[in-house]
Amino acid sequence: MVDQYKGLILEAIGQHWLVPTGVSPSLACQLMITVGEQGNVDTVQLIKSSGNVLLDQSAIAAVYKASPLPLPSDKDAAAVFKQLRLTLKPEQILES
Amino acid sequence: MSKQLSKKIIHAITIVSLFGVAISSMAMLSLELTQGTRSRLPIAIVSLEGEQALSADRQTSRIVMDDLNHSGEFSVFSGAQLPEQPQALEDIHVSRWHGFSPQYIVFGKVHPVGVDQYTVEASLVNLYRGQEGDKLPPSAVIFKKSYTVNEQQLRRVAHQMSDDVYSSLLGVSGVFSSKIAYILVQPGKTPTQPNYHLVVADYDGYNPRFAANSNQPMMSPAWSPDGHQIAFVSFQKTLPAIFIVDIRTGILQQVTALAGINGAPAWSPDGKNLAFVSSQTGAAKLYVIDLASRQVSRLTDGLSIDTEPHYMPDGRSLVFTSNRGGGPQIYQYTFATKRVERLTYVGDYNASANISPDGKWMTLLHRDKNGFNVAVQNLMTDQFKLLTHDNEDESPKFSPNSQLILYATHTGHKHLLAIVSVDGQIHLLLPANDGNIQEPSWSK
Repeated sequence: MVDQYKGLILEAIGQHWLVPTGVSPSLACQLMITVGEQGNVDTVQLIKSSGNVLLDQSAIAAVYKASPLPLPSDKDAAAVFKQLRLTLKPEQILES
Repeated sequence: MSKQLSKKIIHAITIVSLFGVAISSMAMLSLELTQGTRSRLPIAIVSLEGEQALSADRQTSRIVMDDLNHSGEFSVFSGAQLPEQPQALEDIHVSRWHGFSPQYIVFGKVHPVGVDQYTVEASLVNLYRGQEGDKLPPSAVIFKKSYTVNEQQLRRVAHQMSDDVYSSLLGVSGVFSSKIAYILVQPGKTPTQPNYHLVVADYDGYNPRFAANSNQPMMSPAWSPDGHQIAFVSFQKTLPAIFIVDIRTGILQQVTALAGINGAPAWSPDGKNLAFVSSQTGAAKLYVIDLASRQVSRLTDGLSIDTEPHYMPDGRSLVFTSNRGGGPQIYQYTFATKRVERLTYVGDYNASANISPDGKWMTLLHRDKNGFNVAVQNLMTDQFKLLTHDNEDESPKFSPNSQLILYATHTGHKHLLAIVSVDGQIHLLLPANDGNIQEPSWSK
């Protein structure tokens, strides 16, 4: 169940992630996300920069744009997703 | 408090905080995302409040939109593509933007502050910089700038805003305030005697003005590195010679007086020397003149035609066109060793080489069975790519930020200027004057 929703959350954020052109696929940034009970994204904090400001900002924007995130309807199961540590690496990027 | 006790307290605090971190990292779910979509930077441009009173070609938002579109780095969204049209930070409702692409937004206002005086105010805002309720925090503002100018200067201010947006987001300078020069040929009193003008204009072709005029041909304008002077070839005297015009004063001076044809001037990156071509000994050969001492030295010899020199950004070598191998190809001459090395091998006709200011690219004119088109060659990998398919192109020149290439082209019977991005993604035609436009050059 947790794995299923992990997948749904990643899919939702990935759909909104517009990766700037010319960014190296070896870069990565890490975000700390707090999620409200309805799946709404309350805060997004950059805890590790990729070194590329545009990539960091595209990652943060993707998370906010994906709000509300898909959560299990069961309250206890949803509580697991209250705080997320998300690493974003532009390794498999679709060319638009 | 004793030292002993305070040490114990510190110890206890350390344990508690370590414990706290351990708990929270256990509770926190870790995820990794590797999939997204490649995109130019998505940016919203809102019509500035008050600019509707101005003519379309003076409306800041339109000019900024055109500039950012021309740059090839942005996806621009405007008008009905936006969920709302904010004029200030407080007007933005963050949640309304979630289903939309833009990540950044430009808005502002234009208001008259006196006779022919306007204050233009514009802000660049990151739409995703946290939120307070449904509003953006003040830290979302990347910049807020205002300029007070007269109506004539409104385009300049808009270009400045575009440069501000470009450099704030991309960390490299924009080209929107740069100038171009070109030769304009217009009908004269008789059809056989046209008028020639050396024209200086904004990078987008607006605000053209004449820097030199003649009833004899002018060719090959080249900007000095400081952007104050243009070297060019004039047929004013019986044989073509090289002149320099100071565009601030209009003062004209002749530079070369070698026998035969003199042409194709190219500035050294320090502005002290001009490389050029002379046929004083028969075939066209490369020379350099020291502008201070007027001393001329010859670089190449032999029977081949050597022409169109252009310095590498480090000034240690230059590239040029030569037929020494049969057809025209690009070669590199190194000053220290006096050695010549061939650079192009694709096809049997490559000419008019121009090096990007960052030294990474060479643009050139490539002829194949279809005609003359603009190509680029990566100077690190030698990878060669055709960028245009107009088949009647000439004189490709790099923009000061190495992202764009300006060239002359034909549509029907008209000669026009066009821009292509170095990745080949952006193609645009610049607004045309009456007459034929030839041989553009982009200021540094």
